[in-house]
Amino acid sequence: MSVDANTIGRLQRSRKSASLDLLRRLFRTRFGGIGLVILMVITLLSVFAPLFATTGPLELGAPSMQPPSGQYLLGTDSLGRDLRSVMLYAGRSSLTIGFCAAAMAFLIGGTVGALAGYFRGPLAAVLLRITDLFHTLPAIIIVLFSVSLLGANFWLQVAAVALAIWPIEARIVYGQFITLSEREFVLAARAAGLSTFHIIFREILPNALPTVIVQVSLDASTAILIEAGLGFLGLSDPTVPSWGEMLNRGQEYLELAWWMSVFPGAAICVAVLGFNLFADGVTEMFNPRASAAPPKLEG
Amino acid sequence: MSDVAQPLLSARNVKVHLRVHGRIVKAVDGVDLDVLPGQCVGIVGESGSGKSTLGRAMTRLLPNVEIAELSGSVKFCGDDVLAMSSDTMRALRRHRGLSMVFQDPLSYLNPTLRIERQMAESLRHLPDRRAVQAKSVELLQQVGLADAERVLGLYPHELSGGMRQRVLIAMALAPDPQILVADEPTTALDATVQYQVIQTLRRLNQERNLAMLIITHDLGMVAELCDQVYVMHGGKIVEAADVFTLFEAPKHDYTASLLAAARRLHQTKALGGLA
Amino acid sequence: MSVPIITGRAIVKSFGGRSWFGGADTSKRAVDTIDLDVNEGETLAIVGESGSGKSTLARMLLGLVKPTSGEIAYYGQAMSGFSAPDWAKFRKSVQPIFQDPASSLNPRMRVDTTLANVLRRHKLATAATMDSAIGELLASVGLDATQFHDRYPHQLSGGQQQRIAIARAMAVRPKLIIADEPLSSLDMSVQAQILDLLVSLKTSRNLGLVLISHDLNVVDAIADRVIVMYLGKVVEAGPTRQVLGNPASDYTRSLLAAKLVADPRLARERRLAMEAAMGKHPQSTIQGASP
Repeated sequence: MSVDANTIGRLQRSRKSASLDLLRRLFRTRFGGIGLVILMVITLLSVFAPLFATTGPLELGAPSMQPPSGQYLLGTDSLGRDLRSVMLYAGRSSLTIGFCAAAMAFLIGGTVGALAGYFRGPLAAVLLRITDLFHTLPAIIIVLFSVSLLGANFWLQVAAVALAIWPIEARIVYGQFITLSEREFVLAARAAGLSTFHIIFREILPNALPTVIVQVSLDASTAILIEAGLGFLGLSDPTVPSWGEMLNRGQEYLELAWWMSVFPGAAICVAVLGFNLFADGVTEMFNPRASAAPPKLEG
Repeated sequence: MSDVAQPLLSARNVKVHLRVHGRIVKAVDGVDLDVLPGQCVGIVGESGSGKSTLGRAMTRLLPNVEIAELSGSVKFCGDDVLAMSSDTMRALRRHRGLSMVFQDPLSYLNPTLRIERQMAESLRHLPDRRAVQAKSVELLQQVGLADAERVLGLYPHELSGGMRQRVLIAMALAPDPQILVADEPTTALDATVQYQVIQTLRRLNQERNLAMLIITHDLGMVAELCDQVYVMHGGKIVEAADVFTLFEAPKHDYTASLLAAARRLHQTKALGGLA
Repeated sequence: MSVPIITGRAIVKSFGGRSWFGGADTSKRAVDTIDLDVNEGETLAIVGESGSGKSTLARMLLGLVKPTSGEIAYYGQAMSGFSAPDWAKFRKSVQPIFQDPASSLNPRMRVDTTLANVLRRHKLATAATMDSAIGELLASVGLDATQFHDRYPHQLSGGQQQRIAIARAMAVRPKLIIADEPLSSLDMSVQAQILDLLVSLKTSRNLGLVLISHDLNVVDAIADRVIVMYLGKVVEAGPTRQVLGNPASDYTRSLLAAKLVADPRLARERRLAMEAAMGKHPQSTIQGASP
């Protein structure tokens, strides 16, 4: 009996309904749905920036420092760029840093944490000391150091941010692997002679994922904040506009053109809020006890 | 025992319907139950039978879940427990004696406080420290902890599982209760320790005439301890009888199947001589 | 008949130990110098309470934990000298069943995937025969394949989960099952069913069984031989009838005295007899009897 079309159809249906079900559960949490909607809206706006923008990101030509109006929805900046367009393209880079730095932190931290947690022993001791070393260095110092050493290249900046935040990810994954590798289903897989690769990626990782997703999401918001800090300090790549870089430019004109600072600042807040709400929602979804529904009958 | 006909705790048509993932689960579905003074009553059932929910409804300790319906009446000495305000309920627990003991003793003890402090919490009605100390020692001795003074100075993690459970029983005895409700009081314990705790409960029942409602899945424990047994299945009481009748002539098929399973597990081929 | 599958000699497992800066050896022996043989087709029960080291012993017999000292051998070949093919052979013939069925199945893996992984690993089924192999396995533990193959563990009852765990262990057609408290987290009626399933599998396939349990009733029902452990040491060993019927150690006696019987008359008679024999409070003598 091989896998017939019928079975495949049923399989696909169950996969699809499973992810739909996850989505439904996320929207049933208190904030998860709001978080996801925020993230999706700002992601779509950034991805399809050319559709919503009036001009290119670095295009000049409008009168400078116009307040928000019907023509320039978010006003214009000191160089005469339409802030609406700049905001959209800046969102691209801010979100790219958020997502990519978090993904890189997950790859580095996840690998280190998984190896240390699964194999223990001297390997774990060495890996954990290295993690601690990075953990004790303040994130901003690592980033400042690498930017001043290697210059303000956009992708270098992403890597530097990832380097600053991976230790938290490593700690989280390590903790999950330590706990899960003692669970009976992992022991059973080992007793069945299944490969280490199988055990790490098929048995342990899927069960660590809920916790890890939460951390990745929080990491993304941290990355955006770090980038904003860098931009504000004038250390980001000046050829790539980002919300932080816009803040830096706007602060000079705070008294003359509030819109130059307020809009990018608000965008950073909204993005960070989105990631955090989403993380809260995922936590609540997988750990219903964390939600504090009021008790019906108290003791 | 002139008031034999007057139940201490009685439930009439108790229904607890819970909302789980949008569906209604009839955890307890119309249960009648009586506990007479000094009587030891068992509720037996398997997981999902609703026995714990019933026990918690009767002591107003329902967990943090969505309740779709809670109806019927639970009377303790004639007062309706379900209709009481929480203050009245607290007073009832503290002074008039409706105490509860749970399955996992460690999670009901504060790990950062010595037993002495935790016992004193439940003895706040006493006038001074000396009285509290004396009463604590007395209670611990009643539950079979002979070196009570030493136990008072220990932290929960320094006690064995059986000692912890007995400390909790001692704390439950502090308000001088008329009834003790115990939900799987020995499930987390080793066999020898389980036996000690059961004997402690039995002695309290006999010597203090303390009424008990024991919620358990273990027919062995019921046989050891209870006078009257209610068998619960699917939220309903399927059979109620005194312990001897129930074990010798079960009326309901479900009871019979439970007993058959228990006998299968308790069959005594090598142990024939001992029993 | 009585070829030993596994022999253990002077097995010790200690936890903790010296700190990096020297000082006193603070290690605790969870398993302290234990010898045992497990023969083909035989049921050996290891009895003890929490802290007796029986679960640690089980994990060593499964090759999941290395003993601190001593040697465990599989058909005479020392486990410490196993090559990769030796391990594969060992994994194919010694399988575990754990206590908590909910925890012994991967919560994010479907039943059929769980079984397929094991079958594929030991090349016991090809893509073409996989479905029927899974169906047979599920049938052998009393489950209907069409109904259960695509379920996740949380969609199953405790008894069904334990049946799946047994099916996973049986998938490799093992010679020996090491079952660590396989019944104690199940309902009474389900316990009886799983016990019957284990007994029938054992007799129909000449399966060796190491049953780790604190429940003397279960041990009495199926074990040929018994080892009684206390704080990592063996206090008594021998045929079930002898150890449980005529125990030599005080500890075994106290375990027996604590055994509950599902018969109210018998329970009361026994208690009266014990009280008459030992004074008023039987629990104090039980405490005293512990070694």
